Amino acid sequence: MSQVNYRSPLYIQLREVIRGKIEDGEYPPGTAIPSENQLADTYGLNRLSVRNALEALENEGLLQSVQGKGVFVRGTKTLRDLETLGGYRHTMQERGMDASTRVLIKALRSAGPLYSRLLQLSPEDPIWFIRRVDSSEGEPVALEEIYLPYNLIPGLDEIDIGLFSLYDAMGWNGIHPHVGQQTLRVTKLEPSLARLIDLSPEQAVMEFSYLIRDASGRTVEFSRSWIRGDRTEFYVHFSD
Amino acid sequence: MKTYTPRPREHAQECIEAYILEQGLRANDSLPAEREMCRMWGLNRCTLRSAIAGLTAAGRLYAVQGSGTRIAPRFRRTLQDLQSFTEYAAAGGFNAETRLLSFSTVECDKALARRFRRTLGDLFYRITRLRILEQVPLMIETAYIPVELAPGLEEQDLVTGSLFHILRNTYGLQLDHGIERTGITLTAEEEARFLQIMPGETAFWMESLTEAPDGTVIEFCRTLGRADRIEMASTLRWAGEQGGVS
Repeated sequence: MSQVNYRSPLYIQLREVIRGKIEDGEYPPGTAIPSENQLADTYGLNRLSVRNALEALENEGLLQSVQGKGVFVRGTKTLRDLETLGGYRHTMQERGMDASTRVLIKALRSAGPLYSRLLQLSPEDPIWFIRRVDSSEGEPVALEEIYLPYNLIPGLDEIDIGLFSLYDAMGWNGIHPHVGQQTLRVTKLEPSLARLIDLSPEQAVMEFSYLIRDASGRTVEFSRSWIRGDRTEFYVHFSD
Repeated sequence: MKTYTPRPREHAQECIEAYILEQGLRANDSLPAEREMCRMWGLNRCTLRSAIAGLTAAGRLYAVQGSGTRIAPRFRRTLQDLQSFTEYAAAGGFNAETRLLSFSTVECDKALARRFRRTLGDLFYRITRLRILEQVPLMIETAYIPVELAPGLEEQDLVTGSLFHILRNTYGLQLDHGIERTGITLTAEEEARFLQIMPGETAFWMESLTEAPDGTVIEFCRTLGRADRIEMASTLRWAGEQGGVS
């Protein structure tokens, strides 16, 4: 991030050289980069510096080391936009990626002190609680927890939300999400939740929270999703 | 129909979060004493402490030796406008400080050429600044601007002044629209030292490219920010008719 120059530690210089080659396509996704020995020879560095550089890039999710086979360039990160409401599978399908969802919990609960506030209900009112894991190309990328007022979709129990989207289900009930407020933070997950997306509890994860309203201003959904930061990056357009 | 009952700890966390919303608590405000919270919500001490520990680990709360638990401060950055750090701090009445880490002129390399659609060797200003909010070093911003668009920029006050303000008012540039990308990364030693965190800790990275109405790229900025002190906000709009998607 800060400018690398001749005074920077050698492993950082090498890290930036390799990053440049990945960005330029000289090392394409799915291929192995030169071995540690080759890199050490080419740049006149010791193995330790080479290993430090590679580890940094592995941690960033750019490289993946495969036991006994070498170090490979990972596919480019999934790019997600931060401005359209439309759901995960839509975004993935548009990009031609294979996406799937596994529903872990779909149950009724009382809104309680927090969700009654967020969803403009009374604490005793029933709400739907959904917890699911989204995968892309077979690898878990996100954990989602969704809270919906029960009275908006009383028949949700009958709908297979692994097959149809929640927005479809909302549409069949005459509910049309219109605008969402989204907040992005970096946090850590409790071990029991981190495990669901193959993350260690020490690893940082990106947390999105959404409050979604329909055109009349009624809150129709509150949700949180935790996304593996090593597999995703985000973009947004801005204007004056 | 299945039913779900939140675990006691989860319930306690919901009580705390609801209370924060209800009372409109802001950064560094205190939560009531543990005894008081237990009484208000009918919780036992042990459950309450476990909930506080969970929210602290998640970066929502922090403990102050001898004076209870407070709301962790977060710099809220809106991604869809052009508000600068200086403008944000002024609007919120925050105490903000900027330190100029370096100012230099560099030649256009491959990466800059691609972003600015310029040729190798063109001259750019490179400005690296450390942004400090309420005494906390928050982010390192490195901005690139073609010298041709803002000749004499080195004479300008980039410490107390806003770069965007100078580009608009001194150089008559129209900063109109752009695209911003963001994600998380790990900090290197030097970066961590400026941000006063441990090397290898997670940080936000942001890259923005700002253009004039005619599409001329005016500024490219790379930011590295403390993940424990920043949150980003954006507004989502419905994308229109879609079938079978979620």
